[in-house]
Amino acid sequence: MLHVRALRKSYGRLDVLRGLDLDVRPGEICGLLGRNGAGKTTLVSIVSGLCAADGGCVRIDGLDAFRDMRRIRSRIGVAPQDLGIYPTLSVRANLECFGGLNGVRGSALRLRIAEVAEELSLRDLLSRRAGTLSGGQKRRLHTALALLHDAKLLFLDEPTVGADVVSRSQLLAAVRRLAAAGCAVVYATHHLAEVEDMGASVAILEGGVIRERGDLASVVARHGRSTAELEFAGEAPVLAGWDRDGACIRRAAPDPARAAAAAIAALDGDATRLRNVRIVPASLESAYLAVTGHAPEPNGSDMERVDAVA
Amino acid sequence: MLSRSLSLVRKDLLLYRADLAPILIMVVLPLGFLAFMVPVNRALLEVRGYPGATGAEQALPGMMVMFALFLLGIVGDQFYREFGWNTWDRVRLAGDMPEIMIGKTVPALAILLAQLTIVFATGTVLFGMDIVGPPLAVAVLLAAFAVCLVGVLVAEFAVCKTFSQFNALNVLVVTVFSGLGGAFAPIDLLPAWAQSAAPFTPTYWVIEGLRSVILDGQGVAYALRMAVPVLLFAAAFVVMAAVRLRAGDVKVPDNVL
Repeated sequence: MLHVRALRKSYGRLDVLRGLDLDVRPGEICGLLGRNGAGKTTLVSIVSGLCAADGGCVRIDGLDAFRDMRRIRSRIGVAPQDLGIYPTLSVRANLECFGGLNGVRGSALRLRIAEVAEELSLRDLLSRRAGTLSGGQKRRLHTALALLHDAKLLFLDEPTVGADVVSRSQLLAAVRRLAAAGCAVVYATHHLAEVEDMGASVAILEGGVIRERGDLASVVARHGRSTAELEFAGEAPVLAGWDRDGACIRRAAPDPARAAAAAIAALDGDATRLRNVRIVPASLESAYLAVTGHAPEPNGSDMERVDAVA
Repeated sequence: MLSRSLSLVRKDLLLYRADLAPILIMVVLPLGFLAFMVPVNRALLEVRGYPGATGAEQALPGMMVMFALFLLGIVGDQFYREFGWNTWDRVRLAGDMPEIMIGKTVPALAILLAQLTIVFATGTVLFGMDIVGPPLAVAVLLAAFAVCLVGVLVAEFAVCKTFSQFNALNVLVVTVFSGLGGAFAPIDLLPAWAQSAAPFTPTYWVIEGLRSVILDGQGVAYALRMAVPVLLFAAAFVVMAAVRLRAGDVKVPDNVL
C-alpha cells in the first residue's frame, strides 16, 4: 500500500530524511518509532502531500504521491500530531465538515459519523462545542476526523498525546479494528508500549533513515537485551560498563542477575544508597536502545555512557 | 471540487455564525457615525444645489465603504485562525488551494455583501434618504465593491505573515482608500494631489458612483461603467495574491480562541 524509496528532505542545512525506505502492507500496523526531531512528522507530511520532498519517491496504492496526490487524497486518512479541530463548532459540525471534505455525504455521512462516534465514545458529545471538550476527548475527535472516509492508508502521528487512559485504549482499539479490516496504518509514536499492545510491526527512524524494520518479535530477538537496573537515593555512582541516568544505572547483559550482583559487590560505600534492583527482560525498549543508542522518550533524558576507566 | 468547496463554504459560514458579534458591530458602527455626519453634509449639499437632501446622500456611501474596509480586519481573522487551530493543514490534506480559497472567499463575499446591503438599506430608512436613481444601479456598485473587497482581503492575506501585520496593513488601506476615495469629504474639497490620486483607488469609483446614482439619478449603464475600474482593481488584487500565496505558507495568528 505504501512504498517509500530513498526519501530525502532537508530544512536548510539540517538533513532530516537521508534516503528513507519504508514499505507498509494492507492490514499492517507499522509502529514508526523515533525520538523528537527524528523526522516522523516530516515523513508523514511528505507522504500526505503537505510538503515537498527533496528527493526519492513515494507510491501509495500504486499511484505516485508526488504527481497523483489529487487521486490519492481520498484513499488516505491523516491525523497530524498537532490537534486540529474547530473549537467554536460542535463535534458534529467538525465531523460533517471533514467528512464532506473527504467525499462522504448525505446519509452515508450521517451513518459514518454515528459509527465513528460510537467507536471513539463521542456519541454523547456530538452537540457539544469542540472547544469545551477535555484533552482526551479532543484527541479522540481529532483522530475521528481522519476515520470518516474509507481510507486504505492511515497516518496517525502521535495520536495519544495528551489522551487519558480510556481515550488511549479506545484509540488503540479503533486502530486494531481498522487494520483488521485491511487498512494499512502508519502509527508514529514514541510510546513503545502502544506498539507492543497493538502487535504492530516496527520501523525505527534514526539519523534520517529506517535503522531497523520488522515484526515486533524479530526486532526484539535481533536487538533486545535483558537489562539490569540499579536505583539509588540521590545521584547514581559511576560504575565502569554501566550507563548512568540520574538516579539509575543500567547495563544490558546476557545474565543481568549476575551483572547486578557484581555491581552491588563493587559499590563499596554507595551500597547504603541502593534503593532498588530490577531485572528487565528483553523488550522493544531495549531493542530501541540498542539500535539508536539512546533511551526512548519520554522515559529518560539522554543516557550518559560511562566507559571503563583504564 | 465543487462538493469539497461547498463543504468548506458551509464550514466557514458556521464559523462566522459562531462569532457574529464583531460583524454586527461593524454594521451598527457606521450607522452611529452617520448620526454625527449627516447634519454637516446636509448643509454641504444645500450649498451645492440639493436643497431637499438629508445629508445621508453624501455621508452614507463614504461611511459604508470605510466600515466595509474595517470589516476586512475581522474577516481576515477567520483566515489566520485556521493556523492557530492547526486546521489549515488539516484542510490541505483533503483539498487543493483553489478549493480552500473558494471555501474562504465565498463566505467572506457573502458577509461583506450583507454588511454593505444592511448598512445601505438601514441608513436609507433611518435617515430618510431619497434615492433618485434605480436601486439596481446601487446593487451593481455594491456587488462590484464586495468583489473588490475580497480581492483586497486575499492580497493582504498573501503578503502578511502575521495577523498583526494584516491588521496594520488593513488600517493603512482603510485610511488611504477612504480618504482618497472621498469617504470623509467630496473629492473636489480635497488637496490637489489627493484629487489627482483619487481615481487610483477603487473606493473613489464606488463612492462617486453611489452619490451620482443617489443624488443625480444616474442609471444602471452608468453604474456598470463605474463598476469596471472597481472590478479591474479586484482582478489586480487577486493576481497579486495568486502570485504571492503558496500552499505551504505558514501564517501566525494572534490570540487564537
